Amino acid sequence: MIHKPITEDKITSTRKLIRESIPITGSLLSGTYGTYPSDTNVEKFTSSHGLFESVYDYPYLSSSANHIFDLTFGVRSGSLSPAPVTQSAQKYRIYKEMAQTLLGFDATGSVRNFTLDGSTNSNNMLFVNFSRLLTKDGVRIGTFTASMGTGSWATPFAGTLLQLSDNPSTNVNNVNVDSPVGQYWYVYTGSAFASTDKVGMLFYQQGVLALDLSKTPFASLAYSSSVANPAGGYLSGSNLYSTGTITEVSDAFRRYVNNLNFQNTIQINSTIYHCDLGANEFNYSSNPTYTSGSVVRVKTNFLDNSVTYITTVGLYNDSNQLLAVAKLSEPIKKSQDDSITIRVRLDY
Amino acid sequence: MAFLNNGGDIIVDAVLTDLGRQLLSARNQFQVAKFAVGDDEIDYSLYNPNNTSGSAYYDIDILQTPIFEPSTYSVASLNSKAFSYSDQYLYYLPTLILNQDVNVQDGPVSALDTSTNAFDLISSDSFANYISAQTSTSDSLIDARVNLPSNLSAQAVGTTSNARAAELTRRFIRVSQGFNNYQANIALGNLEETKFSVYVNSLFLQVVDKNLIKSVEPAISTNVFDRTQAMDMYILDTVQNPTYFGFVGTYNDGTQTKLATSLLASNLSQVGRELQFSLKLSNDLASNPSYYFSTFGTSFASTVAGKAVTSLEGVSVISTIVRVVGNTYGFSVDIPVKLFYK
Repeated sequence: MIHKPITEDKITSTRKLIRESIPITGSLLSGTYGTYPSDTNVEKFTSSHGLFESVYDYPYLSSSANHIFDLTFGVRSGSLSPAPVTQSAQKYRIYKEMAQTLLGFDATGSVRNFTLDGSTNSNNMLFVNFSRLLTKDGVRIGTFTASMGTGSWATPFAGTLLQLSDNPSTNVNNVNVDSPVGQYWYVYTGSAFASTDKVGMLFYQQGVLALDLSKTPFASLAYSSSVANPAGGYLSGSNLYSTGTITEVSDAFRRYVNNLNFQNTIQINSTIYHCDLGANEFNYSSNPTYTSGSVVRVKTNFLDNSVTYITTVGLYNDSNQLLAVAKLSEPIKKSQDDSITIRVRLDY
Repeated sequence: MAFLNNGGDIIVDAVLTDLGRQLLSARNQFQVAKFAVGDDEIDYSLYNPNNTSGSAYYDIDILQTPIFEPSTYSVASLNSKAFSYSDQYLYYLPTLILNQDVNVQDGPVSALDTSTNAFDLISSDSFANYISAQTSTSDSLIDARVNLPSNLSAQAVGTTSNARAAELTRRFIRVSQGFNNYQANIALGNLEETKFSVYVNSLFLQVVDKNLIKSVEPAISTNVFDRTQAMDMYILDTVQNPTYFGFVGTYNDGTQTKLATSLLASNLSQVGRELQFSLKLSNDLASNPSYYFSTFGTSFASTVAGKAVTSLEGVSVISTIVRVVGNTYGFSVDIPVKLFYK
């Protein structure tokens, strides 16, 4: 017998959550590859739709580049008067798409707007859509932190940094669940976590950070299309919302990011196959080196125990097709003296 | 009282093979039903019962064997498997052997071409005509021209006679199983046929590159897998009721009982069935040999069937293997095959 059946009582299923720490340094977002704002690791779509820009960890034309996140900006239709001069339709589209996806619709069928206090609409939202490569099954609640510069356009990280986080550790289970895409909670500045410190929302399973650029902490963040010519507008100000493109707002934001950190979550579902090697089983081998002149090499006479050295376990279906392979770290001696159970874990 | 050491718990992570992923993507077709254990990396010749340090050191070299990571290529893993047998005191185990006795009366059998150390498979009429001038060595050629869209298939090959050509089309490769040891015969004595059957594989698997060749006689019904990735090897099918020559009886040489050894050359004895098959080109290769040979072939400038070939003659060769695996205990033999094209 080569194959041994695995009965149902030898198969168990388990589930566990794996966490990974994801640190994103701000230097990666501007200035490391190429010259800001034309960083070669930032793919812009200004010649086509201009709806967002994608940030990679390496020049995006390289096959080695990994997608980190997308940046985009939306304005609630009717909230800005006069209406945005540049890309008004695109900004409205982004806001509405993000709102209807992340917040859904109210009882009247209207799209729910972003709000940090339940009543006041957040009208100018910058979105950081993290890649699934990083968030996997979602951002772990209570692990998001970020810091942003508050200095001048030329030296954004001079002076005190603006600290952001999603939740105090004492309140880790406090999340909202009224979103159609899972749980979300607010992003605060500072460490007091007062309701007045809310500046954005973090959608954990969706992996989207939504920041309200109307909030005071962002008001001092300047914007210019040129480092050499730092005169320009501000992130928080109708001039940029109105005259800046989505790409320009996104560029301004990433210039001020010092770092982003969170833990992701990976749900691992495992099936464990308990492969029992009984004392009288698997003690001979078809390995071509097992015999010499048809004599079993590991025996010196008829009465010696037959021995094999196991290195591999294969899982088969009824048609003897090899479905999965597991390797041992070192050969295991198998003889009549040994009864061994090898637990083979298959993760999904 | 000390604690028990429970460090012997063995947990290993498995990876899905290409076939496993394929079946996982098909609804309800991924169903693990059995397992096997293998020892591909082990070289049992490292077992040294003469180690002067004692029996604990007999297998020290084997236990230090480095182990590969798992391969997702379903054909690459568990090529040699451990198997179970109720009798723990077997001293001899059978092996599969390429039977090259071309003089047996039961049918024409091919031998390896000693110049290429492989079975040579003809892939074009021009090559057949070219090489067949060497009539004395044509035993090693397996004629696959019947697959070619050629009107030469019923005619003589070059200067070879019609009779000879007809014979060539029925050349077989034969794999025998038995004990490669005279002492085994002596030790087994006049054991009955039923005793031998415990050793014997009654079913065989053939593993071939189905893009290149197919097996005939016994006919293979259908391919188990129909995938298009070039140059993969696939298990074609299980051969039921293989051609065999019956169990060989015992005889007494005047001093002791032995097994008959008529079918195997030199000191090989036999206790079991034989698999006999011939090879043909795959339909794809037969209909488009230039593509396959330009893609996978290499220029051949050496000797084939005793005939020297120079680089000026435009001969290409594809080297492959046919693996025959006994389905009962997993013994296997790899048979080298070379496909020629001119």
